[in-house]
Amino acid sequence: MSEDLWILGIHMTKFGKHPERDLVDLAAEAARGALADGGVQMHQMGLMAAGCLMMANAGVGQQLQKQIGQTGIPVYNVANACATGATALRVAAMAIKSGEVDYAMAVGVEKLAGAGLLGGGGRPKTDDDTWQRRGRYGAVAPLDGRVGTETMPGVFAQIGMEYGYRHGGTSFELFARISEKNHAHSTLNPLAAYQKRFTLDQIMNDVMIAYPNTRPMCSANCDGAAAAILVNGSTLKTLSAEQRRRAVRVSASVLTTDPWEEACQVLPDVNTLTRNAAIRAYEDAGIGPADLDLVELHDCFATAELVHYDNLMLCEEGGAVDLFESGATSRDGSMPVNVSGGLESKGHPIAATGIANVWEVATHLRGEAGDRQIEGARVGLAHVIGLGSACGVHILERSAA
Amino acid sequence: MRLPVEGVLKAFTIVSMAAPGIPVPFAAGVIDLGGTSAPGNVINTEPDPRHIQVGMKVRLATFSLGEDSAGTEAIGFGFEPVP
Repeated sequence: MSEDLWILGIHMTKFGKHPERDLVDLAAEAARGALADGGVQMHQMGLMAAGCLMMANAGVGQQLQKQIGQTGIPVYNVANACATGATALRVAAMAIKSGEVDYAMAVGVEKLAGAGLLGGGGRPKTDDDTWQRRGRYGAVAPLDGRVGTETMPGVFAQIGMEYGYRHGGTSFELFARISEKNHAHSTLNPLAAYQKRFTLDQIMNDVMIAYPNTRPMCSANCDGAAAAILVNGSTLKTLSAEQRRRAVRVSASVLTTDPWEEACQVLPDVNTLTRNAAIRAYEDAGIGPADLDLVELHDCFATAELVHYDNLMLCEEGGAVDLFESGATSRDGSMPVNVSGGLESKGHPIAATGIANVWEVATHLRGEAGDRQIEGARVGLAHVIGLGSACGVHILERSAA
Repeated sequence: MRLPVEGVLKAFTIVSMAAPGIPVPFAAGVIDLGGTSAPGNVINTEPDPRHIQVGMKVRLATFSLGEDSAGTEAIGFGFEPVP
């Protein structure tokens, strides 16, 4: 029988620009913060999972151990696109559930401030100046800009536009209003990279990146880290009443990739694997979408948030526009989404994101979210997706203790 | 697999910011070709949402990617609106 899984301690750094601090400094703040939050110490950890996408070969986990404690435990350095943080958490979760360790640490860290546009390969100068077939597709030139777009704002713009094609009701203004909501939410989150409220006009008239996504409708590249300490249920029972009260139950921890489909192998499909992850997570947790008190989902672009309402089954199939128009996904609505401000304003230091969104949900479940607290929150869901693709979904529940 | 050369534009974006060397703005799209989705640029029309809408009929068209130093011309493909 597999063990119950709990978050004992969790911490995120302020997201934003940290020019004076390197990856290890940021990861150490998150890791020490999570240990202190859980009332435990490094020597108790049985395993560390460390995520950092941009420095995936740097052994960030070992570097972090040199800073906070070299106890000889196994380190798993993970990289899994924008699902890297959720993957680190999932590795720690598997170690606990297998019964191999009692405590495990997951940490995600990224330095991305000023990184600019992600995803496009650009057009490097080649050694010769003749057309030559190269690579997997035998292309004579890079495809970005010649056969569609590879940059993230454009890829995710198309994903939102396709939803509109299938179900109707979308417009530039609708997507901009989703961004307006999240930026409004961010004003209550002191850890967000940007806490600026934008009017709809400001959003729609800002710099266009890839129609319909203007700059404030895109996730903010920034620096940040987040870490969590996981513990099994039988160990938790031996801890203090305060630790048990603040522990947050992980009732589902799911990671999916694309299933085989008779479809294009080049174009990304963010929908199928997200829906599959959600179905599995609801099954594991024994709840349905209607039981959720808040959701942190992967709004890497305003156009993405809309499709994930549907993929996570927060609405009837095809009903994402109606759900948003009803006001349900605002923080005073029945299904608040991205009360942290989301990736558009809280920021998206890639590997930190999949733990930071769990931190946000856990903080509400503990009743410690301050001005932006969703009152009486008992159950929440955190979702990330990385292209390639990988999707992580975690469902969290407040402790009954 | 043979695909029809005419299809429906089911998604598009107008890329205004891209990596260095890629001319902007350009319209990128996803085209439903008889049930198979394919990526491609929307060409031979203004890259502007007033001229491009999801659901519009488009067809395969070619355009020059330029000549190399040996005088060989590379031909690219995109999709143009069906009038």
